[in-house]
Amino acid sequence: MKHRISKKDILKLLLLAAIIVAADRGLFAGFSRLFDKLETVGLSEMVNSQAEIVVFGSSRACHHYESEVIENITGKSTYNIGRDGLGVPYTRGACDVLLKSYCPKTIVIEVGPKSIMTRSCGNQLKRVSRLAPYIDQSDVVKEMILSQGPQHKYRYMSKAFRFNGLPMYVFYDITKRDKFVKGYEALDKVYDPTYFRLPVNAGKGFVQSDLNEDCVRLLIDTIRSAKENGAEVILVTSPRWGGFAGYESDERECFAFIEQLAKEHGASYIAVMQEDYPHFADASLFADVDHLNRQGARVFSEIIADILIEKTTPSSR
Amino acid sequence: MFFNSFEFFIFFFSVTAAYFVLPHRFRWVLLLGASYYFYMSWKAEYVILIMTSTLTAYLCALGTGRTESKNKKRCYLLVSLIVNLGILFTFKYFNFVSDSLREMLAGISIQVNTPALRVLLPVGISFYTFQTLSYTIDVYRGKLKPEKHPGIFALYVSFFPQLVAGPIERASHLLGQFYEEKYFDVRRVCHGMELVFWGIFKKVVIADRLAIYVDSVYNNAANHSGPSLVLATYFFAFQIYCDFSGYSDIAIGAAKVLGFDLMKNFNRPYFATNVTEFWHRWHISLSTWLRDYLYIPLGGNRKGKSRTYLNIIITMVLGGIWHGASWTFVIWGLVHGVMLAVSKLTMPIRESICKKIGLKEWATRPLRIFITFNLVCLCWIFFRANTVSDAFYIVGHLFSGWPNIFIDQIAVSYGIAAIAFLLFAELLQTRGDIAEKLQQSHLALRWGVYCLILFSIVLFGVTDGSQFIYFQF
Repeated sequence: MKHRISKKDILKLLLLAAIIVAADRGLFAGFSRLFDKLETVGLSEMVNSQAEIVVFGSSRACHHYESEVIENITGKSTYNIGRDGLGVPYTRGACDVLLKSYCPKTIVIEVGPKSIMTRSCGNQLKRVSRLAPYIDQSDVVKEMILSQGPQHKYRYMSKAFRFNGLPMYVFYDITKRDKFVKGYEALDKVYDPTYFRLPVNAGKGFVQSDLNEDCVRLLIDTIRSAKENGAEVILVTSPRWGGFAGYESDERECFAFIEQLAKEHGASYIAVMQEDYPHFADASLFADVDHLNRQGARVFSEIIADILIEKTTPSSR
Repeated sequence: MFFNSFEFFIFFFSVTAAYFVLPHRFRWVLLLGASYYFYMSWKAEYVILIMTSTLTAYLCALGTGRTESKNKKRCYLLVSLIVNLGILFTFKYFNFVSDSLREMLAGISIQVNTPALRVLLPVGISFYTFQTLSYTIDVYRGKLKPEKHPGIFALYVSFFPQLVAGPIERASHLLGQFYEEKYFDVRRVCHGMELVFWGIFKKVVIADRLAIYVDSVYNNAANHSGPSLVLATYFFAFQIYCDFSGYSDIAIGAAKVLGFDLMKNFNRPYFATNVTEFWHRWHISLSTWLRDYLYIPLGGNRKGKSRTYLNIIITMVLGGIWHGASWTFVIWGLVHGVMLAVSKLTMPIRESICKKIGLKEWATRPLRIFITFNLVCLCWIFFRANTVSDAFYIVGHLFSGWPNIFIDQIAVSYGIAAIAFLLFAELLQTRGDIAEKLQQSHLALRWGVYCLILFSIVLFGVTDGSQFIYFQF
């Protein structure tokens, strides 16, 4: 018995490879169209909205900034692109994709200690893969994704791989679509403060070495590119229940750092805290420690809309 | 280098290409070099351990073969057992024994600082140790002639497809295959690649997706109610099955591409109708190893009923410890041992009841499968829980807090669909080997299935390079 490989086998192999490449491209084309129709996943609705104010951030952006309230008070169309679990790296990528299409007048970035501290930032870079469908449109997205490992550049040789996990997103979109209004999703729970426990590291103070350098750099890059394109950038820290329960002083130091960072790069910074806004000492405005509920988000959105008017009125600058 | 990584594919295709280009007499050198490179990609220094294990088993077996004296044979066996089990104990169990001793003494108010070794667990140590042990014991028993070629023997111990997570091959099955000249056979290569991709599919599309829900519940068990704990346990049953059998499929498939046949390691275990049958279908290479080299030498079923039950329990407890140096694995093994003993004890009673009622075997089959599956799942709690107290908490709260369930809608719906697909595929398997049928089917259908599996991996696969659970054993 000798090696058994014939010309026919080689031709078959080549044909199979060609079919796989064609199927890959076909799936990519089909999924690209499908992806554009998703409202809660991806950026197409944000880009199509051509909103004048765009809010970026993670779940605290998504559930805190009620687009319609901000829109009614400021008179400017608003879209909220904050999504659960997606932090500064996602904001950097999404903002770059947005700026390639148009430049909103105001970009609001929800940012807080959790966004830029080491432990909570590590996984966020992995989640940039949610922006993989835009890898060919944005060098920023491409760089962030490919920087995660040498194998990524081979994986993305498959066009369809850009939509890894898409079937789950479609399901998510179908089940969540009605709950999102211009990107904002309300939380209807009410927080029970008796469950509150101080974090283990409470009282240790803000340590600059705990900062995630990558996240800070990406935040600065986001501000810079938005400013270069002519957008007003406002960094905001929205209320947390924990912030009013004994370890606010820790966070204040972090807020001062963010404020300094904003100042250096031509952005504004607002931390909505209890001493200035006593409304948020009421636990019934919260869904959990980190998130406002529907009622809290409305109160906060009214406050933020007023601040936006003040910050973006030419005479106030 | 994980089987589900891009690096492995580059490595594997390079080795395969070189393997078939090289003349037969040089191939063992290539495979041995590739196997050692594969092993060293984890922690290069640990190659010393596998070399020591190999050399000891090789020399002891040669010595055993050359002497007629029973005492000398026994001495050689003892040396091999001490060295191999000594390495295994030092790197896998020393800290566990030391910690357990300290805690035990602390329990009776004696504070002692027991020593601890700062070593990482060498990948696959339990697998290749068992492989060398079985070889030495077989030579000692006269069932096998000692292998004279040190290179071929080293290749038997380190053959890369099955090096880090089995199947635990017997020398009588694998050694001879290294002498046979292999030819590039398209049919065989296709069959091998089918297995490889099916294994990857099970790992990244099913196991790793299920892991998302399982981890979120098991890593925070106290915050979850009964239904979430039950669902996470069912999910884990399929996660570990797909993870481990997926690995085995890749190993068997990769070896097949090169022309080698590795033993079957799984045979639809969740269709077992009793716990004994489950162990005939689950991790077959380990369960047969335990039977041949532990249960039977302990006396098996030859020394009376009560001794048989004790032997079963001892074998299963040691099987549990083999999985890991933790009390959770000890309890897991113990519970399985007790279940096997009870199953054996009550088998005649159950059969006579069925006979009296007039129930046919087929009528009770679904119920028996259901009960066996749930008993096995109950044991998985000890296997997966992070600590013994977590495991008992979970067992104690399985029926509390109904109907409040933590539903990550996407993870749960996806998990259920994935399990349904797997069970469907396994049911099809009962009507004959799917791979065999696929080979005989029309080209269009075959390629359609290939594309379906490939693009399922692309679209549904978890791609963060998570490692196989059994690598840590």
